[in-house]
Amino acid sequence: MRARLLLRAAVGPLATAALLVAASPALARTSDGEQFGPKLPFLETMLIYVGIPLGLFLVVAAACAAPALLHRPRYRPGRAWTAAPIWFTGPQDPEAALERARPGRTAGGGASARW
Amino acid sequence: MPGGDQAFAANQVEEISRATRIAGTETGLRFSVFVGDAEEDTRTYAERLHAALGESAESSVLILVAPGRRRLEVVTGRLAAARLHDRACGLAALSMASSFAGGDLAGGVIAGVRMLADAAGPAASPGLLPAGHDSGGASVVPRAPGH
Repeated sequence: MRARLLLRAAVGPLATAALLVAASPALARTSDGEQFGPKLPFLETMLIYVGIPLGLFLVVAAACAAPALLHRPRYRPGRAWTAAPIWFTGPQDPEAALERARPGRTAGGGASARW
Repeated sequence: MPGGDQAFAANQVEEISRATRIAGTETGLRFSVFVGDAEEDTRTYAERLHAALGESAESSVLILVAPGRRRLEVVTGRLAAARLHDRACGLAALSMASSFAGGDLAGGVIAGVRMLADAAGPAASPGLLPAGHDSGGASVVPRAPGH
């Protein structure tokens, strides 16, 4: 019983002391800014405040543009279509086959769609 | 830009070729896909392309994609139409059109060919197959089993 009472009585002062110890750096006298360091050279200033942001900007821009440049021709609905026609599983000689083609007898049905 | 005048990149060409090939072997029909600029009347043009498939036209399915006109046509041959009804073609056409509207030409074509092949079902009777179709140039037209 007495031991628990003592423990309880000790908690308060101990906690306060711990807080004070932790906060002690705030009580130290500071001398920040009272003495100036050497001036940053112009070139270095430019490098840090212009060069690095510009570099980061370029990296992000390149990352955005790279897929479109490296990848494939992309179709965008509404834009003009200039690519050469391509025929999968078509006739051997498309030109001649189209010349010979007599539509009207072979087609049996189908469907249409637009987008 | 590399290949600025090509409709598809090499790997997309390969994928579409494979899709038409697989659809052909599964169904015994010939799946032909034309992607390019078409004449004013896309339906008539598609039927002409279909007729140009020659002897195998009757058991062929032609898909015309005209990106410049934002039109797509599916033409089934007389024998193919018996297995591939207009309703199934319409469904596949709608699916392709929605892919194309999103800018995905290759994906839409592949999905459409697969849908059409699924709707046609597996090659049933060899009697439906053409006596011999001229194989289509670079892209391989599969010969059906029992040939």
